[in-house]
This record gives sequence, structure tokens and C-alpha cells, in this order.
Amino acid sequence: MERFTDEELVERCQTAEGSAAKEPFLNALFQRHHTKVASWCYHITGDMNSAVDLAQEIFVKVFQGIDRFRRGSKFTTWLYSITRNRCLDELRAKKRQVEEISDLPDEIADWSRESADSAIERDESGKLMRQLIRDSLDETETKVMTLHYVHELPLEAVSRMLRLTNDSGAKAYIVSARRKLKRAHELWKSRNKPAKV
Amino acid sequence: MLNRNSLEDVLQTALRPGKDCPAIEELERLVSKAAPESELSAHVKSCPHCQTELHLLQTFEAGEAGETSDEVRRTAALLRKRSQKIIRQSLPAEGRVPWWRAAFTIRSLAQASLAMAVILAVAAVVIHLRTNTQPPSINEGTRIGQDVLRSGSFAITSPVGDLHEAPKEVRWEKVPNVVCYRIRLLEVDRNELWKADTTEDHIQLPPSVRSQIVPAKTLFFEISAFDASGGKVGDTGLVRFRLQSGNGH
Repeated sequence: MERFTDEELVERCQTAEGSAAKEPFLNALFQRHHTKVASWCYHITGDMNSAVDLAQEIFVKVFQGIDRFRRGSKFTTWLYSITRNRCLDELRAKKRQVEEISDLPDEIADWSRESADSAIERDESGKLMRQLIRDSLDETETKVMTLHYVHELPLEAVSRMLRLTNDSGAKAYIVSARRKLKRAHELWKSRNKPAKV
Repeated sequence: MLNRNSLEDVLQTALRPGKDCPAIEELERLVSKAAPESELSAHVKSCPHCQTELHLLQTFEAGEAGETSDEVRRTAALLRKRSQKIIRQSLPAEGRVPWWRAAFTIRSLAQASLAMAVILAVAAVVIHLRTNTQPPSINEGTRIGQDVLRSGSFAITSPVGDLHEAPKEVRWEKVPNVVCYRIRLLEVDRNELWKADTTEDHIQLPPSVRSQIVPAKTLFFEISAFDASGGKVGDTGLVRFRLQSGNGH
């Protein structure tokens, strides 16, 4: 089996007739990739037993859908998509939303007061914020903010996902990022102040 | 007073994927260096969301090569213990070992089963030779017009490839002797967004489905054809299409 690529194993599994014939190919795929999936599930849940249950579900879903795998794609990308989506669903199901946000200081309160309710103005604010993020934050801060605010991952899960080893983990990066954004926003405001008539 | 919802809305708007963000399969080409330095890499460099997605994909791909803690190793070991259960759970029930194959796998019965099979085969050949005095008809056993199609043997005619506007319907080649077509709309991770059955060679897309066809999002249609007995006689395979960036509905 070792001489086959992942995609060749999938193809042989798709064309094999009967469970007995498919089993060796699925087993080979499992042996190759179970640590990847186990690692992801552990970093998302932070608990070994939950991670094993989640990883089991993911492999069953992948193997049951193996006939739908499209030639020309990479197997690990497909496996990654299913793992990522299932893990995020799991977190949402637990309703562990962005509760930690209330512990954080209000460095950019001004921004919120100025944010208008209309979708268009919010979109404009979003574009400006995106520019400030690009100009002010480092890579880790950007990733922490994205995982927390877009994917709604709890801060402890973000710390595990990004292997953050500092004491406060992701929370420290959020605080630092928000301070930087406040400074960048103030600078932007001072540069774009309308001239007095 | 701080309006947290507004702040979170702005941050989410800034960080969530935009219309130009590529599908995960395209990001993967960057990871595997299959894509040349291009607009894609330029986009990723300036997009917080894609940078994060790429990092997560790389972390996943690195797998064992990356940092592996004791907890991860133990989680993997626990998962390994379930490997047979997982594979059995994944395989279809009808594919389990039939009784006749089981008979050949029990050592004490294997030789007897093999001998009996040989005797029956010889007997069948003898009976066939003795009774078959008429020359066989040319058409015997041939079901004209009942061709069994190979998988992927008919095509979707639209929508296919990059589109300027969201499709209103799906059309495909008509297949003889088919009584039902099943149409499925899938995301790149094979998540099913919509499914419908029809007897025609086209189907209108309901507004709720069209609203899910957004710019720069790669989607697939897959159509399977079934005969009167409910047997699958062919399918189109996954057919990619995408609404180009900057196009509305």
C-alpha cells in the first residue's frame, strides 16, 4: 500500500467491489492520516475523549463519502475541509460563543460609538478596519482575531490551535491587537480630520 | 457607552472572507507550490482571512511533522484502537461477507466447499452441452436500447465553468430509458446544499438555492440517472462552476 498516493488509494477503494475489497484501502488512509485528525480534534476540544469521538465521526463521514471524492483534488485537502467544518460545528453546538470578550478592556470604544447602523456604513468601517489590521497587526495577532471573531472559537481553543505558549495565550494577543488598532484608528482620524472653514 | 455588537460587527466584516477569497482547493495549490506566484499569492498576502486559512491548512498538512504533544499522541493512540470499528461503521451493510464466501473462509469447510463447487460446475457444463442442440440466436441476451452507461457518461450542458450570472436552471444530456434524474448541489467539501429529483432533462433552481450561489464560491452539480427499476445507470460526476467575482444575481 505504501507505494500508492492517497489519491490512488481512494481511486482503488472507489472501484473495489464489496466491503472486504475496500477495507485495506480505507485502513491505509486511516493509518496515514489519523494523527493529523486526532491532533486537530484535540486542539479544538482540549479533551482527549471528546477528541477521539469527534475524530471517529470525521473518519466515518469521510469514508462513507469516499465515492464522492473528485479526481484531481487532493485527498488531504478534502479531509481537512471535513475536519475543520465538523470541528467548528462542534464548537457552535456547544454554544461556547465569544463569552470571553466581556473580560477584555475597551480600547477601541470610540470606534463602536462611531459605527453607524446601516449596512453600507458598516461595510465602509469594515474596509477601514481591514486596512488598519493589515498595516498594524502582526501575523499571529491577525490569526487570533480571525479565529476568535469570525470563526467564534473560544480563546482557549485559539491558543491550542495556534500552539500559543505564553501565559495568557490568545487573550494577550487580542488585547495587544485591540490596543494597536486603537492607536492606528486615532492616527487615521487625525490625518483625515476635515479642515476647519 | 461601548456598543460591543457594533465593534464585533466591524471586526467580523473586516476579517471574514471576501468575494475574492479563493476556495480551499486553490489555497492548497499554494501550499503544494502547484500554483505559481500570482494574483492568488498576492491576495493571500493582503487578506487576513486567507492567511489564517492557509496557516490552518499548513498546520493540518504538517501533521506528525509538526509539534506533537503527549496528549495528541495519546489521542491518536485511542483513535487507532477504534480503527476497525470506524472502518466497519463506514462500509455499507450489503457489502459484508456473504454466507457463501464465509463458507470458503472457514478452514474445515473450505476444502469441502471447493470440491462441491467444482462438481457443480462440471455438472452444469455437461447438462448445458447435452441440452443445447439449437444454435444460439444472435439477439439472445441482448437488450436493445438498454445500454448500461458507464459512470460519468453523460454531461451537464449548463452551468459549467466560470459564470457571469447566477444560473436559473440546470440542463443536461438526456439519457435513454431513464425515468428519474437526481440533481445535487455541493460545496467544495462535498457538503450538500440542495437535492431534487426530476423526470425532465432540466430543472429550475429555486430562489433559496440561487441565493447560495455567491460570487467566487466554487460549487458542483452532480446528476445521477436512474432506470425504472431504481437502478443507477450513470452519472455526470462532479461538475464545477463558479460565479465570477463582481457579479450579482
